[in-house]
Amino acid sequence: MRMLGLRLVLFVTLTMAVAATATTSASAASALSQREVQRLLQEADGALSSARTLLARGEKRQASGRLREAETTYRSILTRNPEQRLAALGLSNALFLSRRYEDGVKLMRPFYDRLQDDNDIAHQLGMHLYRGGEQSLAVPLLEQVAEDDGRFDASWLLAVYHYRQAAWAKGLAHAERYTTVRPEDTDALALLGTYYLKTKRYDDAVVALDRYLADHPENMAARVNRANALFRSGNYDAASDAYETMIADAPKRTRLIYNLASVRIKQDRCADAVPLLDRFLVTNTDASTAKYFRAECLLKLGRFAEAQAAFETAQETSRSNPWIFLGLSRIALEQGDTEGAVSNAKKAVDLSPKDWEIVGWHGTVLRKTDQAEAALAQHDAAIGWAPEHAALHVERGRDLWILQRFADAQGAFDQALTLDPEVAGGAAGAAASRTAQAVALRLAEGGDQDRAKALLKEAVDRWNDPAARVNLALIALEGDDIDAANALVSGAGTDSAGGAKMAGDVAAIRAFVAVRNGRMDVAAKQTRQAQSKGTQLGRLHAITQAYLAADGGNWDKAAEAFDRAKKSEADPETRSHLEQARTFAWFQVGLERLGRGDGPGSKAALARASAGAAGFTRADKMTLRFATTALGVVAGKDPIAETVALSRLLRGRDYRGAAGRTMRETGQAYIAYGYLRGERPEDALKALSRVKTTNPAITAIRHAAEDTLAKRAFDKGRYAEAAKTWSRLSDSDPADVESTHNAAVATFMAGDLDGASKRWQSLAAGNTGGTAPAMTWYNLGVAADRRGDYKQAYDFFQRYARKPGADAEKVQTRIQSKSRVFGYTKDGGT
Amino acid sequence: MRLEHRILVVVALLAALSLPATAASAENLTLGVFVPQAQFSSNAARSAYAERLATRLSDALGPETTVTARAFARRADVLAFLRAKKVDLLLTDGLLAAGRKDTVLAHGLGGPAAALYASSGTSVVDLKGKTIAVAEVGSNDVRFYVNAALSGEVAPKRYFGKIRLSKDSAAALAAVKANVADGAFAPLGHPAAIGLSVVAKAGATPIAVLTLPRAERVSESARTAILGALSTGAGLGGGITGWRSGKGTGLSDAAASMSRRPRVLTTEPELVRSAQKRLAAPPIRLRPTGALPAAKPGQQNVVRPTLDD
Repeated sequence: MRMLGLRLVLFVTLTMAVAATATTSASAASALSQREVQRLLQEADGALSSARTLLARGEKRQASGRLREAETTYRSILTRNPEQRLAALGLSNALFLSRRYEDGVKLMRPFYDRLQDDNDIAHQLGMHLYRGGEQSLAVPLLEQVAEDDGRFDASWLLAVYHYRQAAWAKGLAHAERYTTVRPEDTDALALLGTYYLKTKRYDDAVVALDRYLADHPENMAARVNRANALFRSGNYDAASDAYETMIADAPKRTRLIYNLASVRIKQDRCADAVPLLDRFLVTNTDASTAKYFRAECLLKLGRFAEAQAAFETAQETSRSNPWIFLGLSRIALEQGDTEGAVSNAKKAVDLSPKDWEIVGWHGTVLRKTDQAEAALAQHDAAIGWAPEHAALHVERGRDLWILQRFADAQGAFDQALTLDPEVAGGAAGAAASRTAQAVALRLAEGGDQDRAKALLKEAVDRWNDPAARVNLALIALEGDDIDAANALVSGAGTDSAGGAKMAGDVAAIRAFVAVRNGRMDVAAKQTRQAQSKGTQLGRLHAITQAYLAADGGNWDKAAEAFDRAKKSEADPETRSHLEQARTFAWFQVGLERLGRGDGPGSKAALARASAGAAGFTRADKMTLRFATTALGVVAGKDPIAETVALSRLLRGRDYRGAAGRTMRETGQAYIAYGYLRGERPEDALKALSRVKTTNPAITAIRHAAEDTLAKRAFDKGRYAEAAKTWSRLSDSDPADVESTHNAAVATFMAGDLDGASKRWQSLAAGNTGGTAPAMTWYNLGVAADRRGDYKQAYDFFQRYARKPGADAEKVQTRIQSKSRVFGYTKDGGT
Repeated sequence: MRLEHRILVVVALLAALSLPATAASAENLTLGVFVPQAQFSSNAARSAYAERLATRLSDALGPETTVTARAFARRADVLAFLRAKKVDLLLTDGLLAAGRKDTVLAHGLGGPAAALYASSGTSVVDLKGKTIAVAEVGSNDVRFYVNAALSGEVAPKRYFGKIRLSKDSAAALAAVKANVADGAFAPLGHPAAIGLSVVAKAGATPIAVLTLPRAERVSESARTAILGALSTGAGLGGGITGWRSGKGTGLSDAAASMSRRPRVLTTEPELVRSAQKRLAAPPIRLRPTGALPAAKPGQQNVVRPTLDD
């Protein structure tokens, strides 16, 4: 509307000017009439139009004639009417088509000086100036008129002009206007496509260039620009196709190979990029960027030695490239050379002290070399320059994590996620920092447990953090909400890296839950899992193991596990509970060991049980007292005193009646055992006479008592009595080869050499229920000597020496002297 | 009495007091020599040895003492002289000395091993039930040889058919050669054993000791003089290669060998440890009446999160 107003003003002004001119001309007496001017203008315009048509047809000669004709006519008007605007404009057109730009400038400048707002005049002058090489003078005039309808030629020139000036933002509108007005001029689309590419409107660039290439499919520049636009727009697959096709068409254009390598790098296909860069570098030996990218790729591929060499090669042509030092720093860190990592990172920082990425990396290296404070300072600085980079906030969060400033770390990770919800490490850090705070609160005396729970819940709800989930489950367990705990750990995925770390802890919780639910098979399986994966829940694990062991009847293991659990438990209530459990377990252990006849072991276990036996039932207290006293009999220093004490205990009121029957009965066997220990075998036998039941141990005690009596008789030279007792023992138990043997010894000593020999021979022949003692052969040798059968004695001594358990040295001198005196040999000769 | 006269009397008394006791009391000492197992080639050689030794001892004891040698060929003879207290010094075999309580002044060195000789090709096994000769020296010469040469591995009365006693080792060995005996006990290396084989050998035979059957007649100084003479070479010969004071171990060993029965007769059978080793406290199956309290997880169970870097 404003433009229309301006035009109207111009028109009125021009009309008045023309009128004035005419008046002036007329007043000069040579001015043409208005009618004549109109006629001549029609004539000239017709010639001009004809010339255009002929030019369009390529008939330059005829066109030239028509142009002269038009020029002559226009000039005839201007001669008589020098300010005739339309004639001037027509003549300007004719001169332009004749490429007489200087003449055009001379013609139009006076007009423009007078009528600077006249866009037709400005347009004409601008066109002449531009074509005449005065682009800087032309551009303002062309800019003035470019937006007018129909002045696309001005737009075109401006588009070309700005293109050459690389003034992409200024030229783009002209290029767009031109191509809109002249859609048939597909050539202009290449220019437009370039404009789009340069102004980062990659998708538009691709569309424009596609349209251009539809008519000019072989234009390599357009194809390159299109591929570049695809690359820039992130459409790497399409860019890859485009570059590959072009490389096939123009294999010598090595830049295309470089571009394709760039695509491969973006596609995270460094393995494919490296050979392309190698090809490129064959002919572009100084291409430092390509060398750098090659080194980067090798680093990404984990080919550290090659990457190191590649970076060093790149350094030869680019000594001050901080990114190379950054790469070298990364290699050093990967290879555990922390000193090298820090040193190279520092060099990179020295070369580019304010590059956020380089400074950020320096911080990361410092953190990884246990300098978290310094790392934090670096990351703070980097964030100061590039606060929009989420990764920097993640790194800062990690610094704070190391410094155990979990709340600050949470802030950093949260900031990172705000900037980029997908940033690597952001979610893990945000969740872990919350969980860490919650753990600290849980362990702190008077810590805010609700806040701890809320933090854990947030970590679970937002990120399904396995550690938070496990800790929530533990809270549920401690609150005796077994189902809730089970549900929480059931949802703890162990597939992720974070979840895998928790696998042992999850298994420990599941195992405990299974114990509580009576599913011991599940508990056993999960406990094994916790064991193999490792768990931080040592106490819980120990408790579960204890219950599992108890369920399996392994009370020793259970008791030990309860002891461990109690030792590491600080909570008084839990300690009390564990004390009950361990007392019961040790009581079981003690009774079991007592049942196996393991006196010392039972005594130790029952001593542990006694400490916490206050809560025992009356029956258990009775059992414990009996067991403890009985153990005194078995292992006490004064067996007789202990035996008397047991005897007194069993006569007490508590042990009367049915409840004490077993203890009374077995107690007599213990009393016998005690008397035997106290070397009072007669009393032992007397006690045994009160025992109605029998078992191997009781039989053994009776046997031992009688054996002791026999030995005493033997030592006092009452060989016949000893022989009789041992014979009785032997007869009552054919497997008692020792008694058979000793009966023979006593028989021998009583003077019955043959009787003794027969017994020993029977033993040696295996005619008894057990393996003959080695001493049998020695004694057979002694008997043979006594009979004067020295060769037989020699043979028996030899056999004795070979028997397991024999005292070979004992007979060695006998064997040697017999061999020396009689010439006996092992082979039986003399 | 004049003073000079009195002084002379005192000097004479002092001189009389300073004279050696031997000079006053042992004008003649009898040296009995009975060494039936010494390795003399003949009785004459043995007698010559005794004479030579007596002369050397006389020299050692001074002009006031005369030692007279008396050689014995049989045990019975020397014992008779001893009973008659006619021997002051006795050079004899350890086996004889071991049965007496005389003071032992010295013992001869070079006591050879105790050996059992027989004809060539004969073994101890071959000698079972056969006649064995031995010099009659001590109270139980056979037991000595059985315990020494045969290590006590033989009960002699049961094993050998007959024991033939000879006056000395040479005679015992000669009996074998004369087929009167099948074997003979004698010190190893006896000259009379030439032509016989050693069937068994062990231990040592104390072929010579010097005792004092009448010790009261030999003063300490005389004993010292005798020992001095022995140590400077007197009394060598017949297998005696030297002398040393005291009994020596050979004599006590010989005494022990003679006194103990052979081990084939004395070794006793041994007992084995009996049921004591299997003795254990009686088993008693007791059960608690209570039960384990329900499992509780404890408090403040936490899992600390980790953060990958």
